[in-house]
Amino acid sequence: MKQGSTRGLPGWRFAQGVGVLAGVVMAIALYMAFVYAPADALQGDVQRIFYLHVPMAWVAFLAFFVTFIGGIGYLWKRHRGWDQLARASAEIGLVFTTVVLLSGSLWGKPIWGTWWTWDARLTTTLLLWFIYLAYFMLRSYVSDPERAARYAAVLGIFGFIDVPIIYKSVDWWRTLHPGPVVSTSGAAMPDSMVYTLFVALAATTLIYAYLLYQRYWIERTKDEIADYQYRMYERQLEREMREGATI
Amino acid sequence: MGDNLIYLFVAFLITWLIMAAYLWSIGRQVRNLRDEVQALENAELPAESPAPAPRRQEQVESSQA
Amino acid sequence: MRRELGRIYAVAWKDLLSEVRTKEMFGGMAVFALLTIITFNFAFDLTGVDRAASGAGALWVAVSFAAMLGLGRSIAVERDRGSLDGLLLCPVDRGVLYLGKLLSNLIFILLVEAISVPVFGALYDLPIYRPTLLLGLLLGTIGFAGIGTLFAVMASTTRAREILFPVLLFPVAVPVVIATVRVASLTLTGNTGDVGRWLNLLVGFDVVFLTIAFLVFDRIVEE
Repeated sequence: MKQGSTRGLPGWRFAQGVGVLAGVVMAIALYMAFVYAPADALQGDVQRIFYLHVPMAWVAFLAFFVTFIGGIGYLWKRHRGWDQLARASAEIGLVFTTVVLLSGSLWGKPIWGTWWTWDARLTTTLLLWFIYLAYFMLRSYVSDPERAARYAAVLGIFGFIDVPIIYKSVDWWRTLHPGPVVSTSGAAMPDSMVYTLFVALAATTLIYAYLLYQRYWIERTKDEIADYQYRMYERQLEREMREGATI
Repeated sequence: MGDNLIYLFVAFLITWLIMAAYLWSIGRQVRNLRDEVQALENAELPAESPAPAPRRQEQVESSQA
Repeated sequence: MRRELGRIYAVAWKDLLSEVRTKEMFGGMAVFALLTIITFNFAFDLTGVDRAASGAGALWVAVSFAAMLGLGRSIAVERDRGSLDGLLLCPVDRGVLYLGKLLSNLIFILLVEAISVPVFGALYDLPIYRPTLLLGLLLGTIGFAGIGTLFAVMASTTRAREILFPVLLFPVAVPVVIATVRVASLTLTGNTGDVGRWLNLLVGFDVVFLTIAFLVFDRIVEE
């Protein structure tokens, strides 16, 4: 059972370090987003949601990519660790995608006057959210965990490959029915905004990495505890059978 | 433009709340699992240890009593 | 290769024969599609000059919902009867099984379309006999049935198959919906300029997803 404890797992200290680093970079990013970066010429201060919304969207997509890789790895190697990685990342991705949708909506209302618009990015994010949701619904409805992992891997693969196709199709659809356009400002972004965006992206990625490590550890430990309990149960059965035989 | 600031703050606030709740939930799961692993290890230790020395034997017997 | 093709046809033929004997599915699908098309007339305004655009959507919704019913039913029936296990006992490449099931599903859905599309054209007075429109419908159906066949097999092992199947299928099939409806509405309204790119998208979608489905089907049906 030693494998499941934090003593045995490599990198736990490293992960805690990542967490601290994430906090620090997040603090810097917040400062840059609210103080360092200038207010947008057209949109005013509300535009600062951009530094939250965009990095979250990119990292949510990264999380889905990790789920995709985990799915391929599991289908190919049949080793449980790949699936643990996949489902850990999918959960974090779902949370991040929720934040993307909410922040996008709160950004849209003051800028476009509407809570929602069917532009390519928001629509693709909404569908991504539903695919993540389908991922977990599928896992919960399939009774055998091994089969659930296989099915989820397939859905993860299909979903990830589909996302750029969804984006393209919605984009083309929208160019024929143009709606409110998502843009930061009329002119090109000043450098300070670009720097802020990248710092925010770094912070978000670090937070994701920290969460992923923890979530992965949780899934791994849960599986190992279940294994252990099953072994104990088997051993108990054996013992009972032997005792029954001697009587 | 001043009204719009409310959207800015609500967006960041909601995000913070969601992330904090998620972090807390993960932390709780980690703690519970660590406790569970510890408990399982403790339960296992007396049974798995070899019993040549008498002291150990007493321990084993007392845990079985 | 020829042997593989023969096996694909054999799998599909088995389904078609069984359907001809029982007449369970096809009738239901066709009636469902027709009723949906008619209901749309009451739900939306399909009489005005703009009816081509919304009509295209109504047609695809009717067809795709009927297709969903058919896809779900065909796998469920196979499982309940145990004939899926029988198929799996055959020493046949799983990808071939997938293509066979896809072919039979496709034929059913296309037959439903063969009835629904003319009826739709007649009821709403729209020019449906355009090769571009029919090609778009065909490609869209292939894509929809392609992923639908795979997802139906996955959902059929669960206890909530009727709920789970659409939840799996709809988000992933969105490009097909958009593209097919665009092709249909562009053709019906006469603005065929952009149709080419939508048809390309459908071809791309079909190729990519049918290939992936073919490759992973093996891992779906293993026990």
